Amino acid sequence: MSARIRMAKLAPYLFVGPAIAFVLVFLYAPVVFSVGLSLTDWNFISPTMNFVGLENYRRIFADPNFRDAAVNTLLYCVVLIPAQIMVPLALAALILRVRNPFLAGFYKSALFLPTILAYSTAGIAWLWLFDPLNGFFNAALSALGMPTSRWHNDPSLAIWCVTFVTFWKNFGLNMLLLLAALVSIPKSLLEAAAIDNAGPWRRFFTIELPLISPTFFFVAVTTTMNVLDDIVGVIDVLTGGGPYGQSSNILYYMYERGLSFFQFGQASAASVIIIVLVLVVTLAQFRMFEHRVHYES
Amino acid sequence: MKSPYISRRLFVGGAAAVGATTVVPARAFARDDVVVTISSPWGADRPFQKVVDAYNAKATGVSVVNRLDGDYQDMATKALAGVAAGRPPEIMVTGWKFGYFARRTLGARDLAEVDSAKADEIMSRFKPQVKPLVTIDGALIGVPWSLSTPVTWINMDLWREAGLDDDIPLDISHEWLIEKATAIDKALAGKNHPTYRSALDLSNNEWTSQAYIQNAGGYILDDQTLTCDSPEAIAGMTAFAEPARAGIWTNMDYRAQQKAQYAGNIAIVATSSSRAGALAKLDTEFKDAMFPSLGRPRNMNSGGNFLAIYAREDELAQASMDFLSFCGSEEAQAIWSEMGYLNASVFDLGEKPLQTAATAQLDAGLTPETIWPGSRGLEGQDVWRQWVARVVEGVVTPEEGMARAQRELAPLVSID
Amino acid sequence: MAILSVFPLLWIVTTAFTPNDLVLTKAFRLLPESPTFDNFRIAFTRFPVAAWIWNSLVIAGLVTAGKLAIAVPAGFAFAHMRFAGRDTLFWVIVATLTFPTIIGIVPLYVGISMIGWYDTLAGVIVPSIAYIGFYVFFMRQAFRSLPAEMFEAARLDKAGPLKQLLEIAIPNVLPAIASLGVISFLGAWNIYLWSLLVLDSPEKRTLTIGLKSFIVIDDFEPLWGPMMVVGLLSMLPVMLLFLLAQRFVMAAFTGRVGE
Repeated sequence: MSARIRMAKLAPYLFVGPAIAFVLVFLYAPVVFSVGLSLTDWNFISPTMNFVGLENYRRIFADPNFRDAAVNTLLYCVVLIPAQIMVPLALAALILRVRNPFLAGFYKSALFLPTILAYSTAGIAWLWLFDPLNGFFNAALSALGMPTSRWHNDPSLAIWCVTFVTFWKNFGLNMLLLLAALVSIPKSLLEAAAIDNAGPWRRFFTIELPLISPTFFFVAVTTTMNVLDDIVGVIDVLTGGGPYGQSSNILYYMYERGLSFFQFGQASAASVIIIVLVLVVTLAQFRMFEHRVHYES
Repeated sequence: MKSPYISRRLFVGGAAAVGATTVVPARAFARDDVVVTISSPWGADRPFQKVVDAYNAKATGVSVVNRLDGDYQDMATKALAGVAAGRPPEIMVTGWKFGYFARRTLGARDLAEVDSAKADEIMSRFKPQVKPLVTIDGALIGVPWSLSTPVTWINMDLWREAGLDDDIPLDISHEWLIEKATAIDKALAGKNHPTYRSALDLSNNEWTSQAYIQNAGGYILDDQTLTCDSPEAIAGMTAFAEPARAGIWTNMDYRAQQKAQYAGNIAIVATSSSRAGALAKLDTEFKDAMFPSLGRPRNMNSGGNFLAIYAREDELAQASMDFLSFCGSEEAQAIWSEMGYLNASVFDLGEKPLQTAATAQLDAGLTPETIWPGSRGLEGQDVWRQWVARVVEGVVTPEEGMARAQRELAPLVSID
Repeated sequence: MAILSVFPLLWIVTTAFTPNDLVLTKAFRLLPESPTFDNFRIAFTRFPVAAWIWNSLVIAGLVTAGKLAIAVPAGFAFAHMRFAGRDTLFWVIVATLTFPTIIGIVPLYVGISMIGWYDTLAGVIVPSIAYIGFYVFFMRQAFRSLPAEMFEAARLDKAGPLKQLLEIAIPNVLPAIASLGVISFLGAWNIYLWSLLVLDSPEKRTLTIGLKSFIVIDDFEPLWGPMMVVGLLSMLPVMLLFLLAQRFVMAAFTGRVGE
């Protein structure tokens, strides 16, 4: 075998090698280690690490904060996943119909802007809007003669404040993705439909929506992850999970267990539970969309 | 032809130099200095930096770097990570409440062990009554640096606008407080007042709730036994939550509360005496009264922090000791007193504004704040805070809240 | 809706120019009262803000460079090369799209501490590069749009795989690479939780976590104005980048995702 041929055989592996190495070392390995750590009582600086079986799982299932966090996670998903797909879809469809290119550009940029902000930056802005005594919302409410609110400091409202800020911070990306997909639909198809006397609504549901279904599927899968993930940043800057855990979710719970209290065993047990949940949800989504996604050519 | 290349390098170099000079002002260390890093809750704009700068100006061969790491809990977390990575901060400003955690989990050094003569000399410059606060498990683990106690702060502008009498007693009771807050709310609420938003705030945290419990004759932890479900503790918590239930206390997080007090939104706030420094600087006139009593002798807790050494190597520990020795000097104490804490040293630093109530409480004797035992002390405080919040919000009765807090805290404080 | 979405940011801008002692007094103002640059002076002299800007740039730049350096050849191999295990390896990478980013944070944190990367920029940069599921997927799509004949011709000319990639493939997908670069930069500029955990020394922080140093924790005078200066600085570069590179970002998604 000449050196050239050996090289040609090896080349693909050299090309994909770094990518594989990075995901294995920094994404897969930590997950595997989490499974291992979840069976121990290690707390980071203690010299000993004992095998404790499923004790950590028993403990977190018995922890009311974990139960609250789990229920909240479900609530966040039920509200945010549909909202972060449907509202951006509606906005994308609307922007597409804005004739003035300058105005369309403005809408697009303005709506996308929150997406590119850091959580801490978004946090200071929203803490001002939500300020329990003298924030903008309260000033506006009392100017209108309406009762004020404590917003994120109110145990029953905190979760909705987090939901809203998460939505504000994240819908822009999906909007852009869906808009891009809509833009790429050949004009001829839509014109043909218009000639067939299909109204705008019918056109949207029978032509545009099916044609963007691959993007739609992609958006659905990534949004599920984002909803779990992005909330953590928002919770951290807005409420810290409070009042008394009322706005936490299971990833934030894991984060707190692990890196505020250094209960690595419990944190790892929580992350294993999250991984299992994510797998289940993702598989379900794949099955749901498998037969419905319309692939062009 | 090389000039573009050079100028780009210069540009990058210049940018890096700008970065370096603004990092820590006035850091012109000698190259062979021993560098001691202090993990602290104070940034470069706070008086603590001036203490550090004054020390560095002496060029003793030790250079001290002050590093802002967040609140006590953030610092403890970072220190734990540092210990695990084999590089703890040499010194950490440690909250009194994490004394056991500092000693048992983070391994704070016994100063007497580092240099016993120097330790004795340092401690001789502090009031004898603060020594027990820095003695944990029989070891002297720090220099008593910041000493505070909860007091009552009254915004005099709002007070007068509500038509109340300027003559405020130093020694006030819970009933008096409720009565005045109600009167203020009646006078000022719902009138589109430019700043007034709320009458009272007792601070929803682990500390003022402890003060209420102790003023009712109870304790959260008695020595190391949990007694937060005793009848006295329940009575204290009932009184503590009363104004929130009555609608004169708009309960909110500590950060929002501080901002609101400084903006003149809240008429009366019961919180740390350490706000004296900041409140004295505002345009609004404030007056301090003692923490509300519950009709029996007060049993006030203290708070604040000590400077503890975590350095493992002897050279670093000795160098840290040298800085701590400076901290005990009159010069350092005078600079530090600007912050607003009580004077824990034996030096006469003169009268500071807005410290009458705190000094009266110090003279009457202060107990330590709850020091969460066990290696899981960080969690203990968090659990306690959550139950305090639930009681204040009224989602559980004080009886039930305290009983459940006791059950949840028991395993956290009994481990090791 | 567009106004609603931008509105919270207005306050940051206004407050950055408001004298610190006036910040607290009013709930709402559109234009600053007695505008001032004082907050900038305070922010830059009392905090290592210049170093924060530099660190943010270094992290965003190197994470972007790293991601592209890894994802581009991988995408090319998956699109135009035949090798055993190709599909499996592809899914191994793309499946990471479904990993919540902080899921492995505890073991990662331990690992970073053990190899001495705690409180270093490398500790932030290197693990952040690993989130390349989307990038590899996207690059494969981009390279697939190039006809296979292009490379067969090159092979006949005895051009090695590296030459094919560098001289033929990459020049033809530059817009796609540029848009990925922009997306990566925007994302890496705002890395929050992980830098908060790893970076410790004040001069090693980034703008986004330096901002947290201002959120007042002691009882002393709060610095709201300077805090907003840092907030403003943390959003200006990404806003400008987005506005300038918007066409790329849009093009990146147009008709390519999920093809």
